[in-house]
Amino acid sequence: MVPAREVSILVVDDDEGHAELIRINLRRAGVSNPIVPLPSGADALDCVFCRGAYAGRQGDGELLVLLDINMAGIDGVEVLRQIKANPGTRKIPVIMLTTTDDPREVNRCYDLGCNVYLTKPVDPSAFIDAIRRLGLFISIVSTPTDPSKLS
Amino acid sequence: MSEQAQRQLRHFLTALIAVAVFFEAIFVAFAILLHSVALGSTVVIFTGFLVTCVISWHSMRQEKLGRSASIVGVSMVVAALSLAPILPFGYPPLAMVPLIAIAAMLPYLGGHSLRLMMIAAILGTVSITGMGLFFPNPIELPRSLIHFLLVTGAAACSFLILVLFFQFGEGLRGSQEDLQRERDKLEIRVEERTAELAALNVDLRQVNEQLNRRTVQLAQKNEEVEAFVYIVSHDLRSPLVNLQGFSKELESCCKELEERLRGATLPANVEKAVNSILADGIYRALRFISVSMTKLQRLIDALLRLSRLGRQEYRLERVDVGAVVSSTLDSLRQSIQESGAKISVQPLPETFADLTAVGQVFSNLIGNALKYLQLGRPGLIEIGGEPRDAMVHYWVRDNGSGIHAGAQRRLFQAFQRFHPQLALGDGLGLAIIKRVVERHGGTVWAESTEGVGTTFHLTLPAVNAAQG
Repeated sequence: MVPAREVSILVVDDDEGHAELIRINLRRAGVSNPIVPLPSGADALDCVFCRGAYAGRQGDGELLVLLDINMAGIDGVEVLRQIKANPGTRKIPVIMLTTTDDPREVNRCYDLGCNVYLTKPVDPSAFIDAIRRLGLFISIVSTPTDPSKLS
Repeated sequence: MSEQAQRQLRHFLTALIAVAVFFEAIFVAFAILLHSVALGSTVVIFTGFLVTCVISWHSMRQEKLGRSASIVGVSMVVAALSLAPILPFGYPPLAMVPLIAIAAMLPYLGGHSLRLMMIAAILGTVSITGMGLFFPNPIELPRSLIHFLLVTGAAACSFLILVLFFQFGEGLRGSQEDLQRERDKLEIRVEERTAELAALNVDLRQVNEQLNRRTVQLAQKNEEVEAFVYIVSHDLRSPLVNLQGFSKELESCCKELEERLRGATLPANVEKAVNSILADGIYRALRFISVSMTKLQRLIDALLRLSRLGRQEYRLERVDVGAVVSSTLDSLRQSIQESGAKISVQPLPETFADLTAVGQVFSNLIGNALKYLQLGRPGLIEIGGEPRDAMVHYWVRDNGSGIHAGAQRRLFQAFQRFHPQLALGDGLGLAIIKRVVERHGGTVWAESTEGVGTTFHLTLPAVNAAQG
């Protein structure tokens, strides 16, 4: 069940293991969309805004961002803020995925416009379950981003 | 004026009187011998005048203007008297002299000095006037013995009265002056003490400011430590996600491998060896890893809970502890029934605290009491409370297994387990209680005898009138 316009999933996490686990579990959940692991906030922003190393990226594919909060350098909150501050990228769905369940942090992310907030469960089965539900969510979500508005 | 100084002054005055009397006697004798009575009396009276001048000078030195002035005034009266016999114009004008003297000295007089002056002046006036009445012609009189007696008597009277009054007044004036001096001294002392107190106050304020600064620093440090614990436990969680995720992955890989092997035909010895590697090697290792990870996860979660405890905002309100305890007992009903423990709850005073936190404290304490009951004897748990000053003292007493005396010191530390064989736990319950109670300004302590039971005591703020 690949959507007509394929959605690329950006997995932004500076922990390679987390990114890999997310990928494995998404695949296992039946998500066949392209998955792009991005090791830092800076890479995520470059990729979303088609600049730097990602300048040649095709801007017409739709995106979904899985974003870790606690990253060295530009953190997830800043990436989220920049994506949601730009009218061209504001509608990209962003799912915060992190170990933090500090309510203040959660509220801050929702205030900045994150769509879903997922706590990375330490319990593997719960984690897989969450990723599965996420996969289901990704396969049904519609992401009406107008590529022409991308800066 | 000190007693010694008063005595000295009195001796001095007595000496002066003696000198005056001595000279008086000499000059009287001299005058009688020479038959020059008038001269004799004049000399006598002048002697008195000189003496009074000396006293006056002495008083002046001591800055006692009132006394000095009165003495000068009396001296003038005496001088007038002494001049009377040898002046050609008679007595009446002289009678005015004492009155003029009073007028001159009035600005300096007051109280006792004024009375002294007036008496001297009246005496002087009366004696002069008297002499005028008895002896209208002064030129004829000098040789008269009566005149001598009168003049000398009047002068001596004036002089003695002066001295007597002076001495009499000395006590009063002295005590007044003493009083004034004492008052001045006291005032100085008061000023000194006030200055000392002000200095102390400044010191105290500084100490207070220091204390406040320290308190703020301490609170900051506490926050830092809690933030640190929070961050560390999060950072610990991150690798744990990988450990658990990938060991799960490893496990499913092994399962898949097993499936594949089952389908394949392998030599018997190889199959046996592979199965042994899988079962005894990989799966066993994975089990150990899994158990350790579960433990690690529990510890991290506990750390996080503990750090949240310090960050949690309290909403202080009037808490019906009786209701809190009974709802705790409701939620524990199943384990109470299973344990067969008898629970008695005494009337519990209200506290002014955070409702959730109080619930947590009693739930942990009662839960603990239930968990660690002594096997083979009916459990008995008693919950009580009574007001104690501005606090309420609560206790939870059980007849459970008790805590070894050597371990009681570590009772409220985090991650300490005392009966791991009896029940599951993260070793955090009592640490949480301590944190909660201390954040409310209370204290918590325990009395325990191994094999007999344990009583946990804690204090929480009482509801005062303002909060009620």
